Amino acid sequence: MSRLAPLLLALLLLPSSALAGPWSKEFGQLYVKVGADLYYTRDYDDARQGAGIGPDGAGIQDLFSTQISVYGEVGVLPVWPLQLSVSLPLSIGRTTFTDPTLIGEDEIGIATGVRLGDLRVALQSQILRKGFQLAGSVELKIPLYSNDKVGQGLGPYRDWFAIPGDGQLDITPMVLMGGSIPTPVPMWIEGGVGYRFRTEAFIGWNTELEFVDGIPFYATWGLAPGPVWITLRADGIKNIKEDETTREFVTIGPGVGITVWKGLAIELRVAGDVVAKNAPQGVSGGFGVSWRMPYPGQE
Amino acid sequence: MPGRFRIDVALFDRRTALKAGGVVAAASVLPACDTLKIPPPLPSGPISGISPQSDFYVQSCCGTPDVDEDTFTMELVDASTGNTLGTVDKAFVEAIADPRVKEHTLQCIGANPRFLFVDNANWTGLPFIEVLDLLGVEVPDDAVELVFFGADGYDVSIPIEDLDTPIWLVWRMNDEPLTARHGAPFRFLVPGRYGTKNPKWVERLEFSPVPHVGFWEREGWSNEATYRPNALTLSPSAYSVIGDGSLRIQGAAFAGFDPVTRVEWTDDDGATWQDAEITYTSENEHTWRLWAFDYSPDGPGSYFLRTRVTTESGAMSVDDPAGTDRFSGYNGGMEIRLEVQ
Repeated sequence: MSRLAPLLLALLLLPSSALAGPWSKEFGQLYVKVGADLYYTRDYDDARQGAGIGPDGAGIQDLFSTQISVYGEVGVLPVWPLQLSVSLPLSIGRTTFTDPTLIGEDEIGIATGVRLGDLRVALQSQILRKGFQLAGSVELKIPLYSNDKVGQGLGPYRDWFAIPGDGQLDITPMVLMGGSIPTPVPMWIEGGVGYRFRTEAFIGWNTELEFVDGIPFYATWGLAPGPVWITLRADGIKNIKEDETTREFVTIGPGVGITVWKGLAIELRVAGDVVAKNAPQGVSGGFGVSWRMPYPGQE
Repeated sequence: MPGRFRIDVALFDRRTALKAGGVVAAASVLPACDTLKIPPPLPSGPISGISPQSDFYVQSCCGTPDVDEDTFTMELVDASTGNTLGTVDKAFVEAIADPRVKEHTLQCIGANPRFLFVDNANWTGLPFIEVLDLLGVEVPDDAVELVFFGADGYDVSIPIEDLDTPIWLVWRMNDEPLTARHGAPFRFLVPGRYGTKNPKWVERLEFSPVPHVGFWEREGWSNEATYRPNALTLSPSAYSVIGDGSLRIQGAAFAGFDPVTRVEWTDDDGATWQDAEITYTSENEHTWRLWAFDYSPDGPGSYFLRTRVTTESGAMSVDDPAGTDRFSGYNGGMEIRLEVQ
C-alpha cells in the first residue's frame, strides 16, 4: 500500500544515450544505422515488491524487450565539424507474469506493449581534431510515449506491462575524446563523460516518482583489421546521489562489424549488465545494418 | 526535488494534444499497441456467502510472524502508568465456556479492482469488553485510544469508544482454529473499519491517554478507515477474453454497517442501469451482499460492464470505476472488460 504508483520500473534500456564518438561528422558526411537491440532479464525490478501489497504468487517471470531503431549522424556546417545525431526507437516490451488472483494458479499471462521510445537528438561540435580528438555534445531526450497509457483499458492487467522509459525530458551535455593508436593493425580508443540533467518535466506520466541527476560515461577500445572492426565497450551511468528510483548501471560487452560493400556494413554486439541498481540485471544483444558516406576509400 | 522546477505533463487527451502542438504533444497521439495473452476465465460456480478460511484474503504489513501459539501472550497495559492490567493467551480463550459466533465481513482498505480483498466468515469469540470483564480489567478513565502492537511489527489504534461497537476478540473462523496467516491464536475484529484496524498477533495492547498514528496511517492511509460503499466483481476477472454466449457475472458489495440494498449494472457507460440479483444476504449486520447477473453479449467486440451500489441509508458508490481518494478505501463500482471473440 505504498504511495508509489504500482507501475513497473523497467526504465528500459537500450541504448542509454546516442552512440556518437568523438569524430564529429564534417559537412556532407553521413552515417545511418537501422538496428535492433534485444534485452532479456529474469531479474525484474518491480516497485510493488516492497510495497507490502499484492496477492501471493503474483509477479513478473521474465522480461524480453526489443528496440528497433533508426540512428543517424550528419555533418551540418560547412566550416566546422558540427554534427546532428538523431535516434528514433520503436520499443517492444514483453513480460510473462503469474497472477493467481486474475488468471488462476499455475497460469502464465503475456503482456506485450509496442510504442515509440525515447527520441534522442544531439548536437555535437568538434573541439580538437588534430590527432587527439575532442568534441562536446548536448543531447535532448524526448519521450514519445505516455506511461499513463501503457496497458490502458486492460483493467488490473495494466500493472503487468513494462513501461518503455521514465517519461522524462533529459538534457545531457557530454565531453567526448579519443584517438588512433599507431600500431600495425589500426587501433583506437575513445571515451566520454557527461552530466544527465533531469528536468523533472514528465510527458504523459502523472507520477510521484523523482529521479536524480547522473554522470553518464562510456569507453571503447577498437581494432580494425581490414574491413572488419572489433570493439569492446563499457558504458553506464552513476547517479549523483543515492535514491531508490533512478536507474544506475554499467554494461560491458564486445562488438564486431564488417563492411560488406562500399559503405554498407553489418554490426553485431552483445553486452551484460555488471552493475544494475533500480533496474533489472540482464543481457542484451544487438545487430544492425549501417551505411556511411563517404565510405573508406571514397574520400 | 526542492529547488528544481517540475512540470507534470499530465496525460492529455487528443484535443489537448492538438492544442499543445509540437513534439511533446505527439506523445499522446503516436501509435501504440498493448496486447494481452491470458488463459480464458475458468467457469465458476456460485460464490459462497461464507468464505473458506483457506480462501479468505490475507494482508499484513510485514508477513506472518513466527508465533508459538501455545506460549503467545497478549499483554494489556495502562499506558499512563506502565502497569500491566492483565494477559490473554490461547489457554485462556479456549477455556471460555460460552463463546459466541459472529458473522462478519472484512475488507482491506487497499481493496480495489486490482486486489479483490473482501471476504465474509463466521467467527467464534466474544466482544472484547466481555473478555476484559472475565479478566477483571477496568478500562483506565484517561484512555482515549486502544493501541495495538503486533508481533509482526505492526501498530494501529482505534478510539476507545469502539469497545462498545463492540470490537471482538476471535479465535476460530468457520468453526476451525485460526491459521497462522489469519492471526492464530487470536485476533481482533473491529466492526465499521477497514482491515487495517483489525489487527492480528497483538502482543501488547495499550490503553492510551493520547492518540496514536499507526503503521499504514503514517503512510497516508485513512486513520478513520470507515467503510465506504463499493462493489467488486469477483468473476470473471476484470479483463476476460470469452467466446460467444451468456456469462454469469458475480461479485460482492459492502458498506460496513450500512447494508447494501441494491446493485445495478450498465453496459452503456451509465446511460441505462439494470438491477443485479442479490444472491446472498444475511440477517447479521456488517456482512457483505453477493450479487450476480447473466450477460449475453451481442456478438464479437469489446464490452464494458460497470456496477454501482446503493445502501439502506441511500449512500451510493461513485460513478468512477476507479473510485475516489483511494487512501480512504475503495468507493467505486468496478468495471470489467469482456472481449468477445
